[in-house]
Amino acid sequence: MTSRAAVRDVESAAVLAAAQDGDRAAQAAIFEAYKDRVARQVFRMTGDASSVDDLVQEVFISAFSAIGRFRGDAQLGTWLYTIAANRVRNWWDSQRRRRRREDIASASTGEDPVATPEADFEATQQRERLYRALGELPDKLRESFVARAIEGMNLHEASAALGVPISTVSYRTRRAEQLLCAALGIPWRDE
Amino acid sequence: MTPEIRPPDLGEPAVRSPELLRLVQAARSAPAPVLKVSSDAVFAGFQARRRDHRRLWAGVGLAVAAAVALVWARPSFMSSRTGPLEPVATNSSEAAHVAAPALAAAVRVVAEEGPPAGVRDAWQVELRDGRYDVTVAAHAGPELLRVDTAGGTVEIAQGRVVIVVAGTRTEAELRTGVATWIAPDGARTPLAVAPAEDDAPDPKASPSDLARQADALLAAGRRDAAIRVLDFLVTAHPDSPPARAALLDLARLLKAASRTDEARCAYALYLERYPGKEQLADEVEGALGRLGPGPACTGLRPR
Repeated sequence: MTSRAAVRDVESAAVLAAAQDGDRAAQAAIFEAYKDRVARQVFRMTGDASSVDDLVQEVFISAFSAIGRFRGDAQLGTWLYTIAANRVRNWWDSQRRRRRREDIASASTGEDPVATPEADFEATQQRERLYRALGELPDKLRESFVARAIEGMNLHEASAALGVPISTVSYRTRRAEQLLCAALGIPWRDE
Repeated sequence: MTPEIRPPDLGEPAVRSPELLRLVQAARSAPAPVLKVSSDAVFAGFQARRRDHRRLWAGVGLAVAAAVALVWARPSFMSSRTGPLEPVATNSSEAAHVAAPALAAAVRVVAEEGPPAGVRDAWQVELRDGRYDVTVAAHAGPELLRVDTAGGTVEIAQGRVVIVVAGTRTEAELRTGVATWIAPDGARTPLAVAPAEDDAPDPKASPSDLARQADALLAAGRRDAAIRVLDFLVTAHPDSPPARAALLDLARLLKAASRTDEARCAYALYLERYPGKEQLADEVEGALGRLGPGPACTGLRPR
């Protein structure tokens, strides 16, 4: 879990500079302070627990490779959020290609070769329905919707995390909801 | 849709539809996975990436140095054939070619013989007399590549087509994927995949390229060829990022092709390689169990 003291420590200029120089201890400190937050974010953006380890690793490798460009205008957590969102965009691209492959493979057998255990069946089905539809949304709409609806951020937090004005977050979230409802066959009305 | 002008209500709910909210709550309530990646693994990945960057920059530096040395030395074969006033880059048609729009990232057109392809826009090219190897990689959007020739048009959704143009005669040979021939009168004929010798995976191809090749083969209905490529990917590049998804796909395709013993081995290999991915491992174990017992994997692929 990320403690505030730990976050303050790793955001100090000395730790950031050491991390930039490739100091193992400094990088480990940043990783330990933020890993759970990034993992939670990645999981909620993808809905795929099996990809979280790989994505988290990629996020931190990218971050440490580019940490020289982090100027402290935003918090380190917000900067990591942006990197994670970019990695997740690439993941959705490859996921779409992979789903095409799976669809063809399962169409030829007429069954889903990997069934889900009965106990979690309904919740898993609901999550899969939602994430399948989310995968079809444009990146920006999906990111706004995930930040607001699934991560539970308020408009201010989502605006800061996504780097766009509050009104844009609001519009994109509503537009995403409208498209999701259409894709899932759910009635939608704008109040 | 045009964004509304009205300012947002700061307390507005993120989701209005009760039915959609149920799905969202299912997503929210999913327990976060236990992270297994360590700071050591991240540090090792960081070091490897830094090494790659240094090698890349060293290569760029050497290339620049070589180019500068070449220009400085001006070997006799260059000075005798080209001079500063020769119209190498001042030819208007070539200048127009330089300014031509760029092709989409998924498209590659190689002129094996003849002049370079004329690029009309990101998804449209024009070929003159020659032989061209045209590839359209799998992409997310619905775009089709239009390849115009004097004898008609080839429209490529995805895959690879070898096109030979001689005057008003055009021959298009579909190697993989989906493409259509459009005659000058507008008649459309889907191209059939020609028997090709080059389905074998390219040993020099990157893991991502191999995954894309498997996609294209599968889209063309060539499951056995896709299996060969995926098998090569998981065997030759077991530690690459696409290998895990490829191994699972391979197992499913083998099962779909009724190659049950090999499918069983692929699932078993998945569990052996990725024991830490508990959630998926449970499901793979279930799939393996449903296949029932079988012979040992000795002598079977993948290994």
